[in-house]
Amino acid sequence: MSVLHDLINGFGVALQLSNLFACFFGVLIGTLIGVLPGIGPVGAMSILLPVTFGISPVAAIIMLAGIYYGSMYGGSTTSILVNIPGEAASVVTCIDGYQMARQGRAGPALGIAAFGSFIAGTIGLVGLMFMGSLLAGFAVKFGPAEYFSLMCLGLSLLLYLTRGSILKGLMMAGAGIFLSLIGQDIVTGKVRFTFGLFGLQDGVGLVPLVMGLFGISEVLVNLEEPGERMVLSTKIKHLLPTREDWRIAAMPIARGSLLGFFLGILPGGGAVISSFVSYALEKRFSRHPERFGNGAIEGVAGPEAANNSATSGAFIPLFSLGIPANVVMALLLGALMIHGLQPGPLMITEHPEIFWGTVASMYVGNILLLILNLPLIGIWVRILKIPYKILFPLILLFCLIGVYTINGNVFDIFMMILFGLLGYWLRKAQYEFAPLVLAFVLGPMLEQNLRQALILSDGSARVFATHPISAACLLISLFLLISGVFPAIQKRRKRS
Amino acid sequence: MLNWIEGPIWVALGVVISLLSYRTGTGSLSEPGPGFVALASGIFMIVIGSIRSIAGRGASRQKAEDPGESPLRKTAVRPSYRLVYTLVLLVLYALLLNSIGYVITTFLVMFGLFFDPEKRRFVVPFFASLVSVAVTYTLFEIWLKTQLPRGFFPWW
Repeated sequence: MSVLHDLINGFGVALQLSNLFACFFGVLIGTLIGVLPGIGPVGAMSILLPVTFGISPVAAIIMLAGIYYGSMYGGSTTSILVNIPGEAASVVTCIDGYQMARQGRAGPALGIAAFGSFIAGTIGLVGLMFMGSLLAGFAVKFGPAEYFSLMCLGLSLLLYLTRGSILKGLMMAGAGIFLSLIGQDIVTGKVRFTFGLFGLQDGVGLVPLVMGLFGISEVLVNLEEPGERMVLSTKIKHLLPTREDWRIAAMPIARGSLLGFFLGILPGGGAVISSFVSYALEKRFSRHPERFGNGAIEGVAGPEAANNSATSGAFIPLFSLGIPANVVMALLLGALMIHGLQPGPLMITEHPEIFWGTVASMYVGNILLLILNLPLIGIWVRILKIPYKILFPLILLFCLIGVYTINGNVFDIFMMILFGLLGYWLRKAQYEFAPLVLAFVLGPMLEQNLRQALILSDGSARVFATHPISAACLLISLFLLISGVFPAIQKRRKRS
Repeated sequence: MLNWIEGPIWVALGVVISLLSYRTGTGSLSEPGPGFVALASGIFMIVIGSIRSIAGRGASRQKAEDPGESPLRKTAVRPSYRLVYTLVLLVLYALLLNSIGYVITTFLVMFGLFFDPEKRRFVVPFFASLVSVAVTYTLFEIWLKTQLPRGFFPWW
């Protein structure tokens, strides 16, 4: 009953005109970002982060969340029509979605992707409502040792599930922690690692860092890869899937929703992995696995449902533990902190309007996305044809203005360019940014909890082993890292 | 070859971070200082960098025979003219923004970014830059009340 009451209050918040507009703007930008290859949800969210400073915290989170799940919807459009995934979570949709489009079934493919996403998004939200409060109640008992170990577990899981080299991921995490420590020490107030630069006294800003790494570097890499996008010149008709399509896709949508939700909760899990796992699962369950890769509708429905449901699941550790599950959630955490809010177990009780307002706005956002994605599909297809030489100066301009308006400081622009250049080289060397950004956001909390735990235990590191939750988290982290690092080294050795 | 350098670079970075942390003050286990966690991250980078160096040595020997596969080899290729040109424009933007002001600096830099040296057309980049400046000025300065630098034209 309490959940229903809270949800009604949440709808009261979400349906306020300013929040409704924030939701609409978020899902619109998200769909646009998803449609346009070359800039992902992280880049878009970081570019728009400064815009949220002038609005209320709840409107800011509603807008940023809208960009995230909106991009999941939009990403399917490019996958199906152009065979280019708008963002990583839609890579799998290319396989059967594009084949369906080539067979003249682009409409049902887009339709099942949109409806599947809607259904999965709704299922994910129901899970978020119940599990968010449940986990928050449990997390109230956590002390500094538990929090420190939990953050280590979050980072380890992200590294374990990372697509590239785990060693590279570990180095990026180390660099992220160091970058987060630049500036004033939270305990002594001493200024550290600033190299005499006044602009670094408040630390390295999250916005210049993410805009540089995700926005500028992406543009720089794309500048070196010219090429025109070819949009399939098929007529899109019959967006509503047939009864037979629904019969085939119903179970994949249900399985994808559940799978995506639970994988989304895991730190490092998220939309990308859940879409791949869902595809593999559907192929395994199918009576006709040979249809996969040749335009099987369940190959679109399952992964699309999974990646949307995962976005709801990813909110659970953020709102209930204050620990982001992935880099997008790390950005949301940063946004909440900029607005003076500290996500964690007490946030749901102390700021119910943020949690329930966001949950309710996601229901509203899912309906808006259905409206945006089906009747307006023609507009999205036309947007796909915008040449990159027109797009990239605009992306750069928004990065420049966005980063300047935070503090009105040119130093932030220099920092962004520096991180952009660094990001360009790191991309070329196949380093992933997610561990760096997650470590950067978690860094100050990690330091605070580690130091608090050590001071409280009078310098005894055994505190991390004697507290059962902490010990379990550290053991799992260690197991994950060892099982990730050693096979990778052995594989390299065998190859050489 | 370059792949093998990657590990030592991280080790060197770890050493620098550790030295800086030591100078900042690492404190003790019962009273950790401001450099405590940074020292841990420095040591962590040294360890991982060393593992990477050892693991990368064998791999680099093999990749020397097939240099096309090394990811770092791509970075060794000379960056494109367009990339350097864009970076120079971005740095110029940061340098000139406060002195010349938002309107003129943005117009000039956007013109440079829209300009295609191969086609050498001026009209489209001119109007595209003009529209970009007008839209962003209206959005940020007028609607969002952000104070954009005016430079030597105080009436803008």
